[in-house]
Amino acid sequence: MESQEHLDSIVDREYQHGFVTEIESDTIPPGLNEDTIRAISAKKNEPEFMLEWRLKAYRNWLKMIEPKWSNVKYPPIDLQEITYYSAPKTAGDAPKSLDEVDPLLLDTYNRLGIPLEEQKMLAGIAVDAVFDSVSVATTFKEKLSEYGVIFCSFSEAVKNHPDLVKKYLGTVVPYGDNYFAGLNSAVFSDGSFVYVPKGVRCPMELSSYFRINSSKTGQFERTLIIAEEGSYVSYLEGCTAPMRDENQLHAAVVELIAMDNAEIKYSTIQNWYPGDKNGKGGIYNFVTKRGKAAGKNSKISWTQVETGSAITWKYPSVILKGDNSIGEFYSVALTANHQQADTGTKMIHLGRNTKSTIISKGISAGKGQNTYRGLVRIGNKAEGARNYSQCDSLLMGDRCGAHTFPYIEVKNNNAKVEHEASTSRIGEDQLFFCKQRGLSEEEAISLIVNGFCKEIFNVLPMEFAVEAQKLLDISLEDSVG
Amino acid sequence: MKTTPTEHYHQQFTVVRSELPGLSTPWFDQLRKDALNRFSEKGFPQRKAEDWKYTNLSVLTDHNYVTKTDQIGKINDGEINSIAGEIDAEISLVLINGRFSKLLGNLTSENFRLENLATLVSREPETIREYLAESAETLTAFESLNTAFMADGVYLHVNRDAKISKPIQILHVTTSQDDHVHYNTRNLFIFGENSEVRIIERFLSLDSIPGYLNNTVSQVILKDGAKAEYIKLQDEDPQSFHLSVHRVHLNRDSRFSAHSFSLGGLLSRNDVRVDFLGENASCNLNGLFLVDGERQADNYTTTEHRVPRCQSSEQYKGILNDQGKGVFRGKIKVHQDAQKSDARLNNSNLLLSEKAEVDTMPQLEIYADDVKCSHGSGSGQLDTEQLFYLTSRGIDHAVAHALLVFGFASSVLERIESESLKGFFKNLLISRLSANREIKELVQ
Repeated sequence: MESQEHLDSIVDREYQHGFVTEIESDTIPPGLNEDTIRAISAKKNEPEFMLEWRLKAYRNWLKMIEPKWSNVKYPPIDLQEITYYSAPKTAGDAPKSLDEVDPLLLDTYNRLGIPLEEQKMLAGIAVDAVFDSVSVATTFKEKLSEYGVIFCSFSEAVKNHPDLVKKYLGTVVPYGDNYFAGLNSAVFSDGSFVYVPKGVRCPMELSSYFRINSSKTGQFERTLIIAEEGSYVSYLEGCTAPMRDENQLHAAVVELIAMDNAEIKYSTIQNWYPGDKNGKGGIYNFVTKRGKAAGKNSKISWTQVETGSAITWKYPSVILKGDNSIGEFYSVALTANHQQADTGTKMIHLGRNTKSTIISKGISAGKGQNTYRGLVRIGNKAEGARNYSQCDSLLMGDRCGAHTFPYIEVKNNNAKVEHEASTSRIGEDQLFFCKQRGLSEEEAISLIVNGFCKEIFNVLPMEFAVEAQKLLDISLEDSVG
Repeated sequence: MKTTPTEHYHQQFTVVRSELPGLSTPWFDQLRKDALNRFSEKGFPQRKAEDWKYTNLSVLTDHNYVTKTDQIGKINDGEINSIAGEIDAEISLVLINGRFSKLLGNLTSENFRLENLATLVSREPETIREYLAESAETLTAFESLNTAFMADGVYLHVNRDAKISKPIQILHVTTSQDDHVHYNTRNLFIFGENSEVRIIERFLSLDSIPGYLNNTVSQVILKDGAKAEYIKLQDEDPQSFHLSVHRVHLNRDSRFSAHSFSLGGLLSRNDVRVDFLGENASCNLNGLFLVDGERQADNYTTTEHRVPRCQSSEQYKGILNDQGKGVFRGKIKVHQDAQKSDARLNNSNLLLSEKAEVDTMPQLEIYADDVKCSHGSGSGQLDTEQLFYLTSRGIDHAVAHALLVFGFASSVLERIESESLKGFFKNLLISRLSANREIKELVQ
């Protein structure tokens, strides 16, 4: 059957961004104990408070057990096998311009299609690129500093703005929150830090590309974004990773805090190595992302396009604490081959007149398993709270799965909560309609899938929307047999 | 020192075993023992267990329930007859305190066989062996306790091609006069090939004292082409506990339509599990629950599409007042080979007071691609615009309010196929609303 061949070729598509850059890494030997944590902290010249926090987190983590409730299957992870610190060797301190950056690194970015120079010139985006664990280049810092915006690597923030870090670190995702967040708190290597002062509208989209490179290096990124009263910031995060055979654990933590009238928009394209077509290798992406809409009229918006990773397990959430605050979650998750995704969101309504919107689109192909799991909780003080959720699934092939597990808890009668979900496959009639009008089957599938995801692409920042569509097209490109 | 549940129920078992039916049948006795051992192994569900996370189990598990083997309480025969007479039934089987009391109505029908379980177990246990043996795969602690302690229940076998137009009524009356008694009843409904039948099962209390537990397990088997409408009314004492499990097996071309009304009980829970075993079968599950005070009603349904071309639709509605709490979990699972499945599920809840709470989990688990599945859920309060519309036309506010509540619930009533039963439930529902006299005039 023709469409079977389509599906086969989707399943058979090779990962497009797989290569390894050979750069000498300054690496701590594998293993996890208090000495590892002290070594990480020492390598990074961290102040005493940071080390103490890490150790507290580690001691608490030792008491925790790995959660098993998700709808994903994977062999046990040996945390003693992982290298917890690996920094690309560069001469002296962090480079001040691109000239000082290791040319091999720059080449990696070029091959990934995101040359720093080009982005600087054409897109006007400040890129804080994390190659393995240490930030190697930061651009547009000066322009941002004119506005008082702080955008730097987490390590720099710890050194230069310890008060801010101390004040906000762990306030949204405490180190005791869950097993993987606890692990991250103990061993996090680096990440991004953003501080937008009162009344400032951040003049550009902030962007950070994460890559996983060194073999067997777990990535434990930590991002903290603070938007003061009346400020606005849009943050973009995108990921591709070199081809690997061994599973790599990625346990990141992202914390967002929005004060009165502030807005944070956080967009993600995640395209890490999903493993080969037999399900070998691939990244385990176990991430804790949470935002606190702390102030009145504040807004936090998560948008994600998840096409990569062998396993994606994350629930970008919003705690709607301030009155009239808004939380949004827009997601496209694609699972093909043996990929598994258990993703969704939590909207915790605490303040009055809080509003949240959840739009989730899951696409399953091959033997992919796609699960939406979400929680909408309306607290008893959340007068006039409102939630709308919609979860749609598209199935391609008879060996994949699409699952929906929403939890809706309503403790206030003034609230209005709606949830809808549907599951379907690409209809023969839809395909016939397109083909009859001269489109090839491949174009037709691409058109239908892009239409299915349109609501999400519409809320992505422009550059990302283009990238996201390209990504889906690439995924479907070889689908005509 | 307080005895643990395991110790307690083992002791109870030793005490009452000789009073329970089936002692002289080795396999039946073994069935009880196995169930008790399974209970000991598993114990009661933990507070964190996924299926019980919204239910405070301690109100149930803190007490060690006892089995009463003698019938207690003064039973007013006239009263029972008049309650049974509220339904125009083909035949009524009455159980009092979990034990068979009497049969009323057409006792000579050749279309079906209706008997109480205890009698059947003592006379011809082999008739039910295959069905009970199948249920050995007990899923919860309460089901295990039911198997270990089942004292009586209903056996209904409808013959092949039989068409029974009037409903068959099962009446469970509790007149408990002791603290913390549990009644374990077991029902077996077997509907033969191409039979058509309607069942109404009612649970109610007469002058009982608070705190008893009705723990019932029913097996429903629809053979090829059977059509059954099953209505359950749980209208027990507001201080009582009610747990029920229905395991429904649907064979080829069968059609099952169930309606569950949960009006009473301090804590009630319905667990309905439907398995599609033959192609082209269909199933409608409807439910309505009403809670007020500090009462809680749980509805858990699991629909397993195991074979192709089956259809399921489900609608549950909740009306919550005071500090009432409702929990709904509807799970649809479409297995890999169940292509062309059509499954729909909806849950809506009306919160009438500030402190009411509802927790909803509409779940889809889908492993086949050529399916149509959807679920929806909505929770909120009455529409103020609709209220305004009615009051602006001179309808008193309280009446308008009650009218809208009735309107919300009536879609569940409308799905009842039998006109006479629809009328019965309509009146029953209206009698539970405020301003019921006015409503009655308006909707008649």
